[in-house]
Amino acid sequence: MAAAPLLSVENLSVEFRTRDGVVKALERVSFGIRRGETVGVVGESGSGKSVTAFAVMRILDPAARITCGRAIFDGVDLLTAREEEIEERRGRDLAMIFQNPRTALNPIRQVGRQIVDVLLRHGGVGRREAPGRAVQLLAQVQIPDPERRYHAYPFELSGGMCQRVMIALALACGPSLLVADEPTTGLDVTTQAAIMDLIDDLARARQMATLLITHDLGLAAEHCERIVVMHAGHVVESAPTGELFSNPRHPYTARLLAATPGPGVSLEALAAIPGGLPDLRGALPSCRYSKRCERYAPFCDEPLPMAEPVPGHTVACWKPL
Amino acid sequence: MTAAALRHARYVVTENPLTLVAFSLLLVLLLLAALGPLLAPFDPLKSDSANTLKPPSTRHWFGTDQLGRDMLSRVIVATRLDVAIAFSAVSLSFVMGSLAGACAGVFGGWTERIVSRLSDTIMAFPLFVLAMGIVAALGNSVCNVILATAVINLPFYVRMARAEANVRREAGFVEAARLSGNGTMRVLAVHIYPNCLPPMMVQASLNLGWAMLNAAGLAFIGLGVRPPTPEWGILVAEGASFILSGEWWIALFPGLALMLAVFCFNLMGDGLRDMIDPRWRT
Repeated sequence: MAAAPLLSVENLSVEFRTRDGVVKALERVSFGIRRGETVGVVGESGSGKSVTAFAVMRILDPAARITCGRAIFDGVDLLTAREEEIEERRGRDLAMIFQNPRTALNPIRQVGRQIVDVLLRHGGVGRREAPGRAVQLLAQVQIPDPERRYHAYPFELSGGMCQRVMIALALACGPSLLVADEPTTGLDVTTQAAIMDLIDDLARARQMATLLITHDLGLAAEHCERIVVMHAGHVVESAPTGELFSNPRHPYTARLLAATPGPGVSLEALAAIPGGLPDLRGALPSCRYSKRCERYAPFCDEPLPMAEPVPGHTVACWKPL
Repeated sequence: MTAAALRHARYVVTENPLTLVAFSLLLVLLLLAALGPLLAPFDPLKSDSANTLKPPSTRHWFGTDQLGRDMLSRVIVATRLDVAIAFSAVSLSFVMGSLAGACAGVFGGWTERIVSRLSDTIMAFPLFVLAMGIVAALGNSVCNVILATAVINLPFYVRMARAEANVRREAGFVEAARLSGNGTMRVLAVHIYPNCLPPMMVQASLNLGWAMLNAAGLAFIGLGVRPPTPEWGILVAEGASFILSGEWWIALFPGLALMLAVFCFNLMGDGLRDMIDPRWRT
């Protein structure tokens, strides 16, 4: 438990400069992932989950600016490392899979060739062995008839198959950290389960850390050891999965859980969270949830505390549950 | 792999009759260009004072001109030069224009400003007049005709490649390629540039016809190729003065050949795209 985290994000703040002012997309986001661990980042759309991932991978939009913070991975700060260093690590140590596998594959290149590209770039594999290795990788992600699929173009494969190819591509060089940004959105439920199990198995087999970004609490509960809850660019709560579900401390987490359907929960019992995300431009209250919070009290406007009621369980709230 | 490509090419050609017509015409054109001098029944340069200005007959299918030269032979032999000019000019502008345009689209900033303004400058001239100017200034040679034709076609490729690359710069697979550790140049060369090519092939094909007309046009007004070299533009120009006196065949047949060639290139565009873009292979 005490092992140093593989990736440690500290106080990450990101702003976007837009025509209508500066959007404070992330403020003081901190979390860590250890080797072999799966951490879920959950939150509603616009809460900054993907921005966090993009910042760590250094593919933020040019309009974005990292105002402070560090992301220490393997002893290197990813946020300030030279571009060549990042290029060297992307694909080899750091890999990412995206929401939409169809657009994430080059439409006019055979999928096998795309895997070979990555292998040749990082894998230390020779030109002759690379195609064979790519077929192996395709087989590993359970693509039937991998020799034939090697020559397929992305448009000839189903969405689930494309996502498998993406996973094969991401895992080609045995990365130590996989960032999965909503890997199953847009896939049907059975495919979803198969893809997630596949990621789980491969992660376990390779001692790979996984950062699973999702808005599906159920999915996170099933696959993550720890969950980080984000709201409007803040990390509001972070706890081991069991602890978070049995004992949520932040009002937002509690409302999120109450809004998640499960077996034995009637539709009437599902409660929507009132209000929407605050406008992230201009001045913001210290607690960005205060406008939607039924437990709001005047002292909530003081700078946020980061309480740790139980070791490993942090919550950013003045009046935790 | 190549077998599959050939099978696909055959499929594309047979599935659309217009494409079949276009590719058959292209084949004829290329054969004439390659074997022209062997196929021509007479020496295209040899005059025959006994048989001047003869109308089409079984001996001279396309008739003879004012010096008694066989028009059929002249039209056939001219194919090689016209096809060569069109292909080299289009290849030149295709390669230069698409590379410059793709770079502009991907890098943006100063690269884009310089490339776009240069192509705008070219577009600001009446293009045919610009081509005349270039040939007149650089010297009256086939090489310069090719160069001039390439230059006036350049802006179209630049604009198209820039737009295509710009759209694809943000595409998911480009992001994904960067995320697997590819540098900017490699992303550009392997992922963005090839994706811009299929729509540009259509443009290139249409352009072949246009380049051919342009070269013929230059020859018609006496620039570039010089008589007695057979070239469709010159043949039409020579024939033009005889139309009023009734010897219509001298201008008609080379004009017809020119028209058919341009027609063939225009029809070919879609078929060519279908062959190159794997997304159409189903």
